[in-house]
Amino acid sequence: MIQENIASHLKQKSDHESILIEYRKNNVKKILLITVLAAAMILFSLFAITIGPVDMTLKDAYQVIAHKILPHWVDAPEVHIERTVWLVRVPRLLTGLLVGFSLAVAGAVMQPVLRNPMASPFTLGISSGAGFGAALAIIFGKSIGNGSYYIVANAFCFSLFTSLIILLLSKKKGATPQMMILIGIALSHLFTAGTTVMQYFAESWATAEVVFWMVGSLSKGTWGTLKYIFPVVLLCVPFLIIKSWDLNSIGAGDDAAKSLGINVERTRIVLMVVASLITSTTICFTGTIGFIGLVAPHITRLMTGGDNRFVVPISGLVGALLLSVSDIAAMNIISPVVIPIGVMTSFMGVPLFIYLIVKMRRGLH
Amino acid sequence: MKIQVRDLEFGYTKEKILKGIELSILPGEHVSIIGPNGAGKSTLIKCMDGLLKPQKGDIKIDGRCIRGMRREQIAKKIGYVPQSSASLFMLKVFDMVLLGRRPHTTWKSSEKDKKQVLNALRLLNIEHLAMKNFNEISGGQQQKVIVARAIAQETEMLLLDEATSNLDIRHQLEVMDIVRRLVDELGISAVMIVHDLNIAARYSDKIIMMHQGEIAAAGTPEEVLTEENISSVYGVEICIEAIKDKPYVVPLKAKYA
Repeated sequence: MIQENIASHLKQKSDHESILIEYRKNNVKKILLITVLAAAMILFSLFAITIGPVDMTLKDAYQVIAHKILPHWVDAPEVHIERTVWLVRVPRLLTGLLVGFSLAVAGAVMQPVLRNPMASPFTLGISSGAGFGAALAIIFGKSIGNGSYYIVANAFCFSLFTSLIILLLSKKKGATPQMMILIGIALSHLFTAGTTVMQYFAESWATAEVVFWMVGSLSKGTWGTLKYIFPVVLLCVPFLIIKSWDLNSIGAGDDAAKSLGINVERTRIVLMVVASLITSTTICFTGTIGFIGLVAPHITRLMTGGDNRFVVPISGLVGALLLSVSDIAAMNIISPVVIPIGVMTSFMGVPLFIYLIVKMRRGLH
Repeated sequence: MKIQVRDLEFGYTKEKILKGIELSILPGEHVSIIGPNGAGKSTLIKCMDGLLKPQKGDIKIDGRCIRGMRREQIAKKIGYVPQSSASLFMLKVFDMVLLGRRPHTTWKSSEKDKKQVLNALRLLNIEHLAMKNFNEISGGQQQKVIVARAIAQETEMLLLDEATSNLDIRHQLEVMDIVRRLVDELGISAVMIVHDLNIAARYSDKIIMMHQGEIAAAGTPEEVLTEENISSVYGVEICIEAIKDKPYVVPLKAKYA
């Protein structure tokens, strides 16, 4: 009898241990994926700063970086090389990485928060709002800000304005996710219509400029713009990653999440505000860039499953890689013609996305 | 833990779904709520967990009004098993049950939390599902996972909304046994919505019978499960036999007016 008890106790213990080992193994795999993606990002960055229309050797490009990090130890490179690498390529690369990371994280958060696999900064009209603001500034010269950032300020304010309307309207009658999405889609159409009307009556150069703004470009990424993007990303992204566990509960339903101790209405609004803020901050500098925010989280889920504690940070890395790789491809595929980055992300992202969906047969989980 | 409901009234629109509900549940009590579809059973349970805000009346947990409590405080006291659960995203069963630890942990789960998850899985005999995807197991297995989540939550009261309705008889009895054991051994209280009157009679200390938003009868199984009560509330002809010390409902036919 006693022996039986001990035997069953030991069996239970070993069962438990084997589950825990498997669980940890599963999580270690995901941490490994994070490491691999981060390493790929660094390697790609080292590659990206060496290519471009200005001729230079690998050594030249790295000498600039080394000189910037250790100015006393490494000699200064030639001025035109230093300028190309340090003032053009590096900020553009960093902008691509930051914007890709931010948009992907924003999408990864919005999808569970609104319990809709199609939610992203784009389906919610946040980018149409930005486009409308930019068009207003370009065509009529009317802007909330002035100086060199007058288009940016307008795009930022209008995109944030869009998310505020969504939040205020849905707060009035209890924030159901379906309402938020429908309002977002409706607003998106309204702003697109507004932009079209302005373009219709505008002079052709202005129309062209609006189109140019809307297809997006990383070329406006400078150390000056990074000064604005970086602090916002640095504050918002860690916050969203910390909150990502609650996304698992919210994905299981509002009642379930509430019974697990989450104030769902408040969490939903806070997360939407933060996700909108990083979206607005990034796209106002770059224009409406593709659909990274929609696709990167899904690609991530297909690789790792749906645990949002991992989906949120991994999406960020996937988005950063996808956008910066697209940018390099856009600049070099039919050089010297630069394909718009928004177009390029769609060209690269859509086939990958469809391939993964069909291959995994998992749809949008 | 003691929960007291006084003069409760609730409606989504002007039409009242619950009217004048009065009840109290004591520690160590196993209570079944029965009644026809649309009688307001789920609504009552949701009010008791504070998921719905009643228009009138109040609900007190250990003398404290639920209105003034934060979600996290309620979640430490009451575990809730909803009628159906689908997760939007692929979560492993282990991670699904781990969510039950949310009221006790902020964002990083400790070894103790993992241990609680394993114990809950073991209690429901579903350890073999731990690493499966929640969305890829059967409906009955999902039910058990959600019960495990509520158990991992370590609350003093469990509210179960038809937690056994998707299960075959074996799994149904398993879940009933586990809840009964938790009530007997840990002294927690359990309130379950049950459709099978005989299972309710077999397992519960008390039965609450609801009809059109009101409590039609409440008391021991013998007091509530009478031919008159059941035939008037459900509109059926039945007869009651006493089998193995409990009332047993034998269905005969539906009554037509």
